[in-house]
Amino acid sequence: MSGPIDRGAPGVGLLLRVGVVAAFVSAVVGMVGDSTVNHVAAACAVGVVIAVPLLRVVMLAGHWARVGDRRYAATAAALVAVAVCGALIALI
Amino acid sequence: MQWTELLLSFATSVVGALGGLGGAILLVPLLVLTGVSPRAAAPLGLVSVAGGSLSASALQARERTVNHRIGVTTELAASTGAVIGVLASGLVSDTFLQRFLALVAIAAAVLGGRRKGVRNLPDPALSTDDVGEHVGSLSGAYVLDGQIVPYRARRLLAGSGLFALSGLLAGMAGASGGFVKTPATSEVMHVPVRVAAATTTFTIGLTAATGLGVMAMQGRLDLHECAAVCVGSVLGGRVGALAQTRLSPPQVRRVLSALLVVVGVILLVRA
Repeated sequence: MSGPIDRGAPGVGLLLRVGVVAAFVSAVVGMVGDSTVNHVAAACAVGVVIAVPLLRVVMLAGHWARVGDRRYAATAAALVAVAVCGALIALI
Repeated sequence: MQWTELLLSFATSVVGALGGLGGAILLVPLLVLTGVSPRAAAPLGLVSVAGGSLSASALQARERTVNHRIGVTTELAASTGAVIGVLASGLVSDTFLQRFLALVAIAAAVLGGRRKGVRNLPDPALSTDDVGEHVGSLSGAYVLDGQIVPYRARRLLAGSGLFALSGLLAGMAGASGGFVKTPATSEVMHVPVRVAAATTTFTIGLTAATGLGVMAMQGRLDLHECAAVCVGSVLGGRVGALAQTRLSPPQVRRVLSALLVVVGVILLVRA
């Protein structure tokens, strides 16, 4: 019944580790002052926590498509589409 | 320096990552109590969920506790429900929704708290090579106290229905559905509570990121406060995920039940 073990999408682990470090460092810089550099760093921290989860699902969709798991690749693609549509509807 | 935001987001992200709840449901009322306006507290809650989720996920993905296929499948139902909920918001009063969500949280707490023992038992025939999720199905195996425990998600239709309902209610009430998703995955779909919490931590990060993106485009973010909350939640998410690996499934379930009661009471008080 169960298929082979999926070792995980290549690059997702690295994306998460880099994302955590980037979000933390830029957030620390963003909270310690009120200059333009601090504002840009804070914006980077927020940008990272927004972008990484969405990128993760995109990478999962690509990985699942490559290993022939089309059903879940389509599900992941549909999830990204619903998230983007939801954001657009909320903005309108 | 925004020490209050930093410390509160740290504490709520620890418990959020531990139980797969997100933590915003605890952080937002606490911020309001300290004088932050509800309109300003909402995006900070989303930053804490997204930051805590990112931090916890890095550890949980490495340990292969997250089942991405379960997460993506159930989140599709929840997100669809949330979009419909946003469109239908206003049809039902906020008070009714808050009370309903409170009852759901308390019912989930009782359901999880009453259950004794462990459903999914270790299989001595499996090795560390078998840890992870399976291609083409909602099943997998995870490590528990050095032993490999196989699992398979059951009652997908009922679970997805609950996720869609949680998304619908969350979209209508503007609340996070994390406190419904973990018990639904664990108690209805029979996924081990540790995998359920880790998988929910992954999915609520996605939901929070989407909501945060909208608020960023609307110009609702105070970047200085967001940075402080981000620091606290990244640290808290890491600590919560580490603590979760050291607790047994019944302990995680008891912690989750206690947190759900707290969430239920908060919702009832806010209603």
